[in-house]
Amino acid sequence: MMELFKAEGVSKQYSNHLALDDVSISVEKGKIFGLLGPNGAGKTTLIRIINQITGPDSGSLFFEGKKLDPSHISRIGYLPEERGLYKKMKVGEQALYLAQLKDLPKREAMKRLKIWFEKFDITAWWDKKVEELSKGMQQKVQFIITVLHKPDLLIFDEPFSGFDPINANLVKQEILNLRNEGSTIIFSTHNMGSVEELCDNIALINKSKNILQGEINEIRNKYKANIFDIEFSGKINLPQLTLSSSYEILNHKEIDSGHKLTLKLIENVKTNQLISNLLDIGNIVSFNEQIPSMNDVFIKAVEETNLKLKMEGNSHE
Amino acid sequence: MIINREYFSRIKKKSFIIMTIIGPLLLAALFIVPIWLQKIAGEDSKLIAVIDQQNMFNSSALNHNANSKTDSIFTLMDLSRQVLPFDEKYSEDSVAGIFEALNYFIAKIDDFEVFFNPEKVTGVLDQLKIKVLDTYSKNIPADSLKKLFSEQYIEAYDIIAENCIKRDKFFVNMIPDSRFYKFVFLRDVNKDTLLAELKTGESKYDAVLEIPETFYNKNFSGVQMYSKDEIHTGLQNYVRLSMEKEVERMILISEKVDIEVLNKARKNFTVGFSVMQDDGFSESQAELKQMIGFIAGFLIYIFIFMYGVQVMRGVIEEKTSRIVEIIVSSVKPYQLMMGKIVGIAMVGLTQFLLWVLLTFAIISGLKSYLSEPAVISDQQIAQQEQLMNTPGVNGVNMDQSMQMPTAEQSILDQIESLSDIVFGYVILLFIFFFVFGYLLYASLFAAVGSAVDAETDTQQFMMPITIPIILSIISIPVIVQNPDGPVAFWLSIIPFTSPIAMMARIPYEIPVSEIILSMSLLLITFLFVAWLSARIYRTGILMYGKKVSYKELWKWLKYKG
Repeated sequence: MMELFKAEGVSKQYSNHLALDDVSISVEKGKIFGLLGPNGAGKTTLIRIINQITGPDSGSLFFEGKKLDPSHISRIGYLPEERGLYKKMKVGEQALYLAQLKDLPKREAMKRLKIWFEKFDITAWWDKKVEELSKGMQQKVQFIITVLHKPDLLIFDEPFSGFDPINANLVKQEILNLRNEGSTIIFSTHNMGSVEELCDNIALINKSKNILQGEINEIRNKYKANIFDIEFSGKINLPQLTLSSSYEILNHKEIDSGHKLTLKLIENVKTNQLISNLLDIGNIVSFNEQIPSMNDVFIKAVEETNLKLKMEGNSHE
Repeated sequence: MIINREYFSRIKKKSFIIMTIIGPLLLAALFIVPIWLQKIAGEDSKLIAVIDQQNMFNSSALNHNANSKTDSIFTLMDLSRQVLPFDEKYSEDSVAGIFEALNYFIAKIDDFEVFFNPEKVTGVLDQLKIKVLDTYSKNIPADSLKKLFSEQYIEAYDIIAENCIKRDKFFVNMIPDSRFYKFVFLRDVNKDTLLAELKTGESKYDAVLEIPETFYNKNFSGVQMYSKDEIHTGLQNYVRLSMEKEVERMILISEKVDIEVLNKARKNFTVGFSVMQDDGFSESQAELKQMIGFIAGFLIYIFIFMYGVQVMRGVIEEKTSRIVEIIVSSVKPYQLMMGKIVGIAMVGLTQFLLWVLLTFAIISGLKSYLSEPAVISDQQIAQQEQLMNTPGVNGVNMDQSMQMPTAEQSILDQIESLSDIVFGYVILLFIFFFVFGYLLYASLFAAVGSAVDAETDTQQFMMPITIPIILSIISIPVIVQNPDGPVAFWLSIIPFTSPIAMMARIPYEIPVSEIILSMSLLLITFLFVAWLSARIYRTGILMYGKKVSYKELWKWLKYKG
């Protein structure tokens, strides 16, 4: 495992609030890193610091093990959440201009733009003014501009907003392609579905602090609530089901072929014990542990920290 | 890159091209239109009837032949001769008639005393009278008396004539015709019918000027002008000035001031203004310098405003379109800001240079056309010279509108004659003050643009920026009047007003040390302001949807990059 980018103990103070408080993240090379957090948590500030748009008050940042400096800018591609283009400028011209700002030679930029425009089927838009384009079209152009200079680190802030499902899928595929080609991606979104689909690692920032970080499956497992979905075929031994003290029944539903149950295991009870208990009740067709969605993890983690902070605040008073 | 984009995207705009073409046309029009208007106006002159009951203002009326003004005085003699019945049979009655005539003549002389040296003439006439009486008392036969009288009379006539011929130039139309106004002197007309005609529009006259019989006696009052249409100020002034001159002259003469003396005093007066140079003296060009100062100061004002606001709009555009975040991930905000400012500065310089070139091209291209009005001007100069040489009406023609074309001509000539060194010097300094004045204000405008979300919110921050600009533009008249005064000095040293104020001063050779002081202060201030603005800009461009106060801006200044 190799780190492409690392932030250590980054803090940033704005006049009346602390935007980042001792945040550390580590982004593995060739992986998609999800940067999550509720609105106003400080994600955008962190991204801006990575892009060297603003500087941190304290903490250090490393790119490929070296301290982050302006020479790294051309190796980073950034698609901001608040994004736009010059409305009066022609699409092609603008793409060329922005590519050149990233130190890409004009000829090379032209060549790559042609390929990307064909890929996204927007060659016809080259000479149109940006204001004539729909929002989705503009997003496509912006996406192309972000990835055009083949940066080692790509930062996407809500890349799917404004896209219809078909185009969102297209972009998703391109993001995966980019990763497969070796790019490292920092991906910031509120869409937990896409996080599950795309991300390898995540960091969750809440109230300026990094509250959760790690491999996505590990995190999801960590937040497992010992809930199981079990399906029986035919009849079940109902009295015995209700007698057991190793679990509680959250849901019970009779279906045509039998019964569907959702059980929560009492703490310290092993899964095997549950299974052996259940064997007597009926004919098990399926047995699944419920793994929490990222959505659940997100809500749970955020609520936990908020509660903690609130209690801390109360104890201070 | 940024400079390039800012530059080319603006240059390609239609409005830029239109402004570039229209600018010089307007400037050229500024020179040409007045001349052209003069030309049109000249073709349409007003005809004004003057009812001069006393014939004070029209000497030609005294003459049977209105065109020959030179021997007007003889008309006076003729008048009396008509009364004197020389050709009639001599009789005692006739002798009495002679006395009557003589008395009438003398009385008439009194009436017309303003026209010449009356004492001399009445003296001659008195002698004549004595001689006639003397002869009469000697009981000389009528025939010889008549003969004698005729001889005596002719003698007196000759003396008077001699006295008056010398003053024939004195007699011109007291209200001379101009290119715009022609005066027709009428006597024995019914004012009421004339006015009635005027009212119905039947009259061939555009206006009627009435000089009452009592004019001379009643302290020069009662003159009245009638017109169906509004009497414009040009005509009002022309009539008033002409009459004022004439009345002044009448009074002086009536107070026994010798006409010779008067004419001498009425010399066309000019003063040569010379400025010391290394190699002798040169003619003062204060007027031209004033003009250059005005134009230069005003141009800087226009450019600072026009392009400063463009910078601000550009920043707001980038901010509202949210492209700014894409760009600042590639370049430093400072670079973006300076790129925009410099790019627009180059647009401004390009436009300025094109204006200069095109204006000169148009003006020189129209030289052929201009040469035509120049002929008219020459005629006017000749006309004016003629009038100026005419004693008594000196300066009457100093009508503003008449002066215009010649003034234009002379300014054009002056510009051509102005040494290239001074011109080059002024242009170099102009470019310096233009560039740095613009840079100073543009960085402020950029900071303002970054701090707000929409142009409508800029007002509160625009105020403090515009005040020094406005202050310096309104003090330009003070500065050009007294370029070495304290107001001019301080305004041209203080960096925020110096670009405009200094430009207004520069045409007057002011000390190089002051210029250098002003330039270096401007430079230092620019660097400082640019640094401040960059800090505000850096924070402002990424701050959306927030109403910003000055307190907020102060905080931004302190953020760490």
